[in-house]
Amino acid sequence: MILGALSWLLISAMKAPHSFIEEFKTEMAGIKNNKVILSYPDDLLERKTRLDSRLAMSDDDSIGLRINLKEKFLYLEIKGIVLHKTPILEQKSSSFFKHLSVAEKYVLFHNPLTIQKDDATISKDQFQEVIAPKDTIEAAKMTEIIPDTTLTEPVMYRLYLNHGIRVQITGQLPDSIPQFWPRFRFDYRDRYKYLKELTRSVIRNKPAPYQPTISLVINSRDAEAIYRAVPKKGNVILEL
Amino acid sequence: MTEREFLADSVEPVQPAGSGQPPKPLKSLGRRILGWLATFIGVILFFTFCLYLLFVVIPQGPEIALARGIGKDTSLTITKIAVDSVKVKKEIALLEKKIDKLTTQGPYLIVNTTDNRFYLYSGKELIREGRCSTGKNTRLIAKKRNYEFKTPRGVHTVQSKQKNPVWAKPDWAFIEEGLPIPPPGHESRFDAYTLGDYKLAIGDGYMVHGTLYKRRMGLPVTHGCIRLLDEDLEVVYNTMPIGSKVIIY
Repeated sequence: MILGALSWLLISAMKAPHSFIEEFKTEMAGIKNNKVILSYPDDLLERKTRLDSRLAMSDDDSIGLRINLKEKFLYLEIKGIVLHKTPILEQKSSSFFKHLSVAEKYVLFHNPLTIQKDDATISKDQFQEVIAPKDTIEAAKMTEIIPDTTLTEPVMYRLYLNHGIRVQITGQLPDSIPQFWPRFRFDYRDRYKYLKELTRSVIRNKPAPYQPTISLVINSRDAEAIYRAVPKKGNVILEL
Repeated sequence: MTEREFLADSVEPVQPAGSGQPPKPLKSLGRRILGWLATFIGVILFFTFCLYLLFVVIPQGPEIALARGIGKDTSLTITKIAVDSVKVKKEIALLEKKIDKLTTQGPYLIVNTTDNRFYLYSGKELIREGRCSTGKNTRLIAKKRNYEFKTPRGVHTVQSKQKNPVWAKPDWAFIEEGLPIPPPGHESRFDAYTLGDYKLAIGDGYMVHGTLYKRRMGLPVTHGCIRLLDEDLEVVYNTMPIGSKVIIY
């Protein structure tokens, strides 16, 4: 019986991309396709996708994230100005992205995607509370707080974007710092959440969840800076 | 059947002592232990397999399906029409020009609060970079109100510039030292040394200024202002006119 239930879950999980793609197609069909633009030669349409999305992001007053998987760089941008650039050390993306045509990439990515929610091992703003001293004697006794900026655990976060796409960023720390268990915990939490959602959808006879994911590994300090710089509902450009 | 034959059939034959065969109960106990062990190992293996299926195989299900070609057909039905590639190239060149124009032509300062570093640019050219100190991200809890010491992220503008600035100490400077808060305009509020040789005000009381505490440069120790070393501050002061951008992230 257990094996039967597990097999059923596996079959439902395997069906998920199909229903996701069907939904995606319906969504695409609803968009007013500009036949002329979609008929551009592939290389020009690719360039247009990049330029259109950067221009659209420059209209926003907040900092945005640009992920260029071809050049293997992550950029923080505001009003078209590159504030920060960091190399992608490792990258892995769902097969879904590999099947997209240039025209589909244009339809999906010519506007920046928006962060819907996020899940991270660090907080956006971390405050340490200090009680005001009563007098000068107490003030003299107080040692000035200098926040410890050395990282002891890898920074990890997931950005859930519109169109059901998500980006997972992991900060790479030196090998001397143990990273297996924090990574395992973060990964396990995600798998557990997925299984819960999958079971719920199977019980309710609904399509199983599927989120095409792009996983990136970058320097940990950069991962921290990027997470704190991008607003909660910030913009993300994907350049595949 | 005679009585003797009946008795011979109904009574079990008694094993003679020391016949060489092991006693039956011991043999079955050994077998039972082996059986339990086998069942236990079987159960453990089964549950390990189930956990592997649950946490490794099933979450990979969608990717397995895509790799096997299920749902591979994502293509939109686009009927391509003939386009003038010269026109298209012109359009793209125009977009590239627009992107190029986005970069501010004048000087601007970028501050990274995570690494406590600054970058002074003029257009696309990096003029100077170095260490700075930004907000310590603490919350001072006082009797009447709380104060948050953090450097505000986003785009700011240099609103005013001043040589040999005098710092008008706000209330929190006294609260932090455990001193009574003097009335506004009191002489104890004015300090001619702490801000260094120059200050550039960027709004809401935040400034880019110098410091007496040079050893702490590169650490997040300020009350929200951006501290620079004297030489860096001089370059920033002389390069950035009023109205230039300070971008903090």
